[in-house]
Amino acid sequence: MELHMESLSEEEQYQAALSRGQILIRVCDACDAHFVLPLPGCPECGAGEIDSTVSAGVGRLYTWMVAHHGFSPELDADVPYVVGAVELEGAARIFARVEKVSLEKLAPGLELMATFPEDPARPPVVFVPVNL
Amino acid sequence: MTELTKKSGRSVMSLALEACRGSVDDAGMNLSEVDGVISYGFNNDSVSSQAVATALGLPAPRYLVTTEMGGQAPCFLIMQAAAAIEAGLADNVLVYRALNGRSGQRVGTAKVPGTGPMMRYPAGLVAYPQIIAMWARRYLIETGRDESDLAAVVSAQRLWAVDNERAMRRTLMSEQDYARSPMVADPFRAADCTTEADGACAILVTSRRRALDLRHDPVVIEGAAYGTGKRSGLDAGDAMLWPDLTRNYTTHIAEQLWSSAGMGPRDVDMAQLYDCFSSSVLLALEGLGLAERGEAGRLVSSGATVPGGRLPVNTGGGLLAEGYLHGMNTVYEAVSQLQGSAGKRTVPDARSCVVTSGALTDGSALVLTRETRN
Repeated sequence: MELHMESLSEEEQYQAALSRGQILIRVCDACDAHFVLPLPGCPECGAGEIDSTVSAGVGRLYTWMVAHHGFSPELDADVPYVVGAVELEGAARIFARVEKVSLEKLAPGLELMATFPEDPARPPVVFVPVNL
Repeated sequence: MTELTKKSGRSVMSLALEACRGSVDDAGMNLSEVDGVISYGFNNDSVSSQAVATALGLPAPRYLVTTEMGGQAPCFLIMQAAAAIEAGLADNVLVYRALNGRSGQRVGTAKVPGTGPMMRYPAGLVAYPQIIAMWARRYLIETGRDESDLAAVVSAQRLWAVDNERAMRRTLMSEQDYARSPMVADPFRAADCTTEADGACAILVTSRRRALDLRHDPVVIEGAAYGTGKRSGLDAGDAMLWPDLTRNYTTHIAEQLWSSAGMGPRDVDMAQLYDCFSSSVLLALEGLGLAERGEAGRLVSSGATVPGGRLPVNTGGGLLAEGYLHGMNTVYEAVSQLQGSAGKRTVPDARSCVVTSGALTDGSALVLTRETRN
């Protein structure tokens, strides 16, 4: 099915891509800044012409936390879980679940790749190490 | 300021009124002179400034502002009150924060709408301790420091809390106690996180001329700043665009703050630094130039910030030990200290203090001094 991206808001475009197993990255026409946040303006230079591209889904770990408290029954069932700040192409940062890596192996720069669980009860994006 | 409890058993309005009345009484002013009220709240956890003005029976309010802000607000709203007074828009302005933060809506339980939350909630990033834990981790990585810096902040502030009858955590905390504190969002343990409270706090802002006629020596606003940088984000918890999670707003406002005060980091006798979580003290010490990059933990470990130290920090135990009134009580502690009314923990001869509000990409700060009347 073809998606008519033009009729969707930036947020809807992001979500539509996610549901296809893709992370949409915004790329500023003017300054080439890359960012994941679905904004129609460039946070780096203020330009209004923003393209989008599909991320290759590979990035590096910038920082992370390990949740031992979920603040809700659903997330309490997942603890301990890891959320990482992952830098994709052009340092575009995304916050996402990180799995299949032991806590002592977590390190800045760790190379990760995105997976997209189909189970709706799971987080939409889960990064796992490139070298499992 | 009201007492801080886990269950006030009272309405937020009743707490707000007690704090506002208390502030005006303490100053020796008549309530009918108050013509401005400014407040902040988060996700409808407060009551509006208009409602408070009504319940206080203010005869002619002419400056009522209710903001939807978090911990970045208090110093900023004091600035607004001062600016309103200077512009002739009001004469005497109350700034308050009131909430049932423990028995009512607790941290992490409110699901707020918006693009920022939509981008982080699905990952399981739902509460501020989790978000700021990621800042703390990156800070420790880049500076080559470790969790003992966080422990140092917690232990140092507990030394102050012992003498603060309002503090909700008044016991000392050793390194061993810290290590036993349960993990909440690694690297944060429960001890690194503020403790939620029911209560209210208000500060009365007036002109210097009027203040000279009131009961206490005036506390003068020497300098003030609110700010952030490029790529600040969509809301207080959004850090998707912020380039450097090891430096928060304090780095961005330091120059404006100190130049507006005509003072520098070496000129203040103490600091009250917003500390919803332990790491924000480290980032503020460095951002404001009170410590060199990566050296804040060593400064705290050296004993400089505890009672008797050369730079007392968070002299009521901070939000970590006193309780979480979203930083309004941080400003209150500064004013109490400078007016010499902080009881046993009063810092002798302290005449100046820097105060901050906020922990993330945006925030505010004040430089305050005590003016002694003859």
